[in-house]
Amino acid sequence: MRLLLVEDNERLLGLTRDALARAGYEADGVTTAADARTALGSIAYSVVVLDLGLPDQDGLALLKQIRASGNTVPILILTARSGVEERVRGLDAGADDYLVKPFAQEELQARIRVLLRRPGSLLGRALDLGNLRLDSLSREVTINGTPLSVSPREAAVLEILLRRAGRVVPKKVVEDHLFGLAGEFSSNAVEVYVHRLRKQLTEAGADVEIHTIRGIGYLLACSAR
Amino acid sequence: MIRFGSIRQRLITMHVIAVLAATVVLPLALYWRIETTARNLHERALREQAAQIAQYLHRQADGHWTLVLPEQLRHLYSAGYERYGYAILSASGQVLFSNNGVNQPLSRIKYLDDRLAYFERQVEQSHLFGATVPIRVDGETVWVQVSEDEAHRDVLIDDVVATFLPHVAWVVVPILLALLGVDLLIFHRALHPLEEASLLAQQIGPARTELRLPEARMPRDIVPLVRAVNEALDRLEAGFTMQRDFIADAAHELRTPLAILRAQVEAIDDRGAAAALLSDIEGMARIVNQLIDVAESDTLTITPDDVADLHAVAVEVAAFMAPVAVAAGKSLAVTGDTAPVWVEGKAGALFPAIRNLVENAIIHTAAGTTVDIAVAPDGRISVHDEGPGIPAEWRDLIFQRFWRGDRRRTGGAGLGLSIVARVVKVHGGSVEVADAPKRGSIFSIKLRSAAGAGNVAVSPDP
Repeated sequence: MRLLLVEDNERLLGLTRDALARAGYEADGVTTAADARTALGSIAYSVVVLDLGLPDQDGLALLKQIRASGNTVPILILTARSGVEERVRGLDAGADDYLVKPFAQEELQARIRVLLRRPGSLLGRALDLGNLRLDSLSREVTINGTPLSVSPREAAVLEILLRRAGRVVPKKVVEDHLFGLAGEFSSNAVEVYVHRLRKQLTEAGADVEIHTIRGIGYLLACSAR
Repeated sequence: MIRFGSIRQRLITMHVIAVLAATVVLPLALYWRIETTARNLHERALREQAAQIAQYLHRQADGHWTLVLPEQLRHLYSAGYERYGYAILSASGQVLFSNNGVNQPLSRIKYLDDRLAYFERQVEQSHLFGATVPIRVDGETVWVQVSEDEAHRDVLIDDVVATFLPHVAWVVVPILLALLGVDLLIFHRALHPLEEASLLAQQIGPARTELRLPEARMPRDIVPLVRAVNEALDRLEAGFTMQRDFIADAAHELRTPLAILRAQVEAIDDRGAAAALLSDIEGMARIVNQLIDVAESDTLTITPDDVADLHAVAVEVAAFMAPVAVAAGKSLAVTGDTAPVWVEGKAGALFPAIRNLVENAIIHTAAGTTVDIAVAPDGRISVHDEGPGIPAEWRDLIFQRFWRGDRRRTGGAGLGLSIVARVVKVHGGSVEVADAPKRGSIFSIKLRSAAGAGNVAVSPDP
């Protein structure tokens, strides 16, 4: 699994690459659109993080070229522009997600994790947050290495929250995810799973917490420091 | 010097004064003119009468004068008729003939020269007007005096003059009043383009810098002024756009260095120090966002075609701000109806407005409490915090740009609520703050409902 970072600011590029490396991602960094085209031509990347302000070409134009060439690699746009129109233009041009500077590395990694989940991409096997770890293949959940006894459905709920850690996951998205699994659900099934997960996490001394954002959904985050 | 409020007032006042003056002067001038004419006619008649009498005057060889008037004239000058009188004086001033039987001149003559003279005398009931006319008869100059009693019943012309003034005045005044009315209409029509231009000019502001005053129906003497104003507006717009773009560009340019700073701080091993620095960086990022919001809200315009789902915007803001709230040990909730609430407006503009309200609420609400975002079906969105509340005397001030209640505590730039006020104003809505029932404040934005819009627009996926 390899990521491509396209960012004209070398310091930001270096710092982001280092942070990704610490999180276990191997990333190549380039500073121009020309280098990005060359890199994409030779290596099948799992995710591309693309800054829109490049010295030799507009990032959106590069994005359209990549899509026109038939490359479906998940692309996350990184930009200093925050307007709604900018975001719509970026997504219309074929981007999968959009992040405005300045951003938290944690946030960038959370979004990369979601993009890695896309079909055709390599799966990140272990998902970590704080002292919580979830193995996405075996569905085993551990706190500081100590396993928790969670049901497959609870693990599924935890996985989707963990992949989007630090962001609000709408309740509807969690429900849709569960409906993909076999079995029947009552209307408050998700609430029941979250309640049980929360209890187990607390008892096991986890330093992460599932927050309920009433009216929207759930947010998994490290406990307030 | 009287100061007038408006051109119209000035024109009308001046015009009324002019009309009043005309009302007085016009009849007087007419009166003077008609009287002069009458007098000239009168004098000519007297001269002709004198010449007529002189035709019948002759000097005999012995130096005696004879006057034999024909029947018609004798009747005219008879004592019984009392209207006309005559006297003929010799060069020495002696009365040769007269019709008054007393051989007196009609008017005493101090000395005789060759000049024609007129006289007026009041004799009992009579008002005599006469002329002394020097005429040469048979080689000698005599003075023929002729008079008419203007008080006589048969004299018509002076009656006309005497009754002229009151009658004419009553005709002149309504005509002048009618003229005044017509002129008021003319003023109204003439000033109309100017008034329209003034109304248009009032709309020109930061949000509508593209408006220009129309030259089309403007009076020709005003066009240079209109053109000069429009050219000044062109330059202002250029300067304003440059300044706005500068703010937005500068703010955008700050984002990359902030991202670098943030990435560096996140790599620091000392979590405590890193947390404090990150909080500072977030504060800076917030000010940068607000500067961009200010620049964008200044150019914001809303058309009736713009509709937004207020509930969807509330959910989007809550999802955006929830990580911030959670990191601060607080929480967020969206309550109220979950159905779409369609309002007139742009979601892209409402988002920063509501985000600013929620950011403030998260900063001020007490630790462990929840900021509540409620959307009502009538197009109202309320943000309820459990903070210290807003003192009543601050409530009119907090929406002003750069106003800050407590500079030390919040560390903001004082821009957030001014952005809210600006966006809401452009949307034709209202924003207000009230005390919450138990503690804290409730900020409410009321927007115009977009009735029936739900049929055509599609709700964005929250």
